[in-house]
Amino acid sequence: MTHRTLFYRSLLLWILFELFAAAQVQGPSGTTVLASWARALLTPPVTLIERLAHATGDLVTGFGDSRALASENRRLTDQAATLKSENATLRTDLQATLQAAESLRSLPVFTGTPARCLYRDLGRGLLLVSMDAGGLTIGHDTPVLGEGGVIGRVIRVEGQTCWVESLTRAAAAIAVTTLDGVTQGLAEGTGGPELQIQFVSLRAPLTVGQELVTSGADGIYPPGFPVARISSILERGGPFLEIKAHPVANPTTVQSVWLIDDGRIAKAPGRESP
Amino acid sequence: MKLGLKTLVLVAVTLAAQRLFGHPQALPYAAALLLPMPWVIGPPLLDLERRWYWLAFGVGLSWDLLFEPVIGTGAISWSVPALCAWFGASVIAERRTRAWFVYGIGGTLVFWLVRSICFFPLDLPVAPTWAWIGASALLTGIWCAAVHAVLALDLAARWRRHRARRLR
Repeated sequence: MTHRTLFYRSLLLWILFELFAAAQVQGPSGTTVLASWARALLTPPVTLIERLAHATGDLVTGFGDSRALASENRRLTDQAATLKSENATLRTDLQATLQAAESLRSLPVFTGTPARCLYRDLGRGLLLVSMDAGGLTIGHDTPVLGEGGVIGRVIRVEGQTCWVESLTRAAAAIAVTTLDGVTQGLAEGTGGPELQIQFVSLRAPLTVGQELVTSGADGIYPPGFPVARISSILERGGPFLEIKAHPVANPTTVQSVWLIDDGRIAKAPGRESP
Repeated sequence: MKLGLKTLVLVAVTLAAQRLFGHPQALPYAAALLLPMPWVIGPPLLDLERRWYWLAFGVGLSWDLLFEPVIGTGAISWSVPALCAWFGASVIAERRTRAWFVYGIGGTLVFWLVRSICFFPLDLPVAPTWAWIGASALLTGIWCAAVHAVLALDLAARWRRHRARRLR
């Protein structure tokens, strides 16, 4: 047996004897010194494992939270995009409404409800407009003003939306007059972009470009609102002139309209109705 | 009587004597003399077989039973001087009485040092005074030297020769 072997065997025995002695000695806490040694030996790795477990739990929780946060962030981003889109739409609507209101400044003073055009069926000459909740009660034949003048009238109401018959529709008609009130006629829709002015005497003093306004004779449209501008005047030998006119309010581009409260039309100050 | 049994009896006698040395009516420093030390440093100095080294563990455990509050530390305290003696005897050729004296002193110092080291983590009362350790080392060294001197006299052989002469 070499010295080294002897030393290692002795060392092993010394350790065992010291542990045996430690198992016999009571510590201050009542447990043996060996138990306190074992506790001191095991506490760091156990604590380390516990902290690692906590850290892993925190990591998993944090990962889950971050995923939820990312999901929430995506949802909010989508919501922000939606709101941005809605905001852009509202701004466009507001701009159109302001433009329409600006164009209506020269019109007689009236009360009405603003509405937004949702749908245009130009083939049939119909518009679908939507009003804000809480507005006036809209009835059948309510006149509708667009940018620059009359667009048409309401022919059907469905809650907050209503269908508007455009002046250009084939069956539509509106009583018109010149601004001076001398010449009167009936503007009929042709199904195309133009209106045909009927029942105008051959002697009527009309010129191309002259503006025609509502006369109020039809009992639907209040007087004084621009309707169309004469585009051509022909004399074909009949009892009346053959007159064509372009609507002042273009139904193909209208975005915002006003539904006129017919019973509360006020007279524009400083402007006479025809 | 076989050698093992004889050794066992002699070790027991040594420990019993050590016990008597600690009696209250004994001399004050009598207990400082470590009587079992020759059993620890003797085998390497007598060039005995290596298995005699393990005798130190037996002496130590017996020491624990008789003199220590716990069992185990004495085995360490007695085996470390033994191991040192075996290492020392393997490199130093000196085997005379003064070598026993020096080994006795060194073994005693190592014994008290290792005992203190073993007791320290157990929170047991340790340290004898420096005076006690010095006295212990000196007395034990003298005791080891005396043992070697007696062994060197070989009284048994002298007695046998004396008997043989008288018979003639």
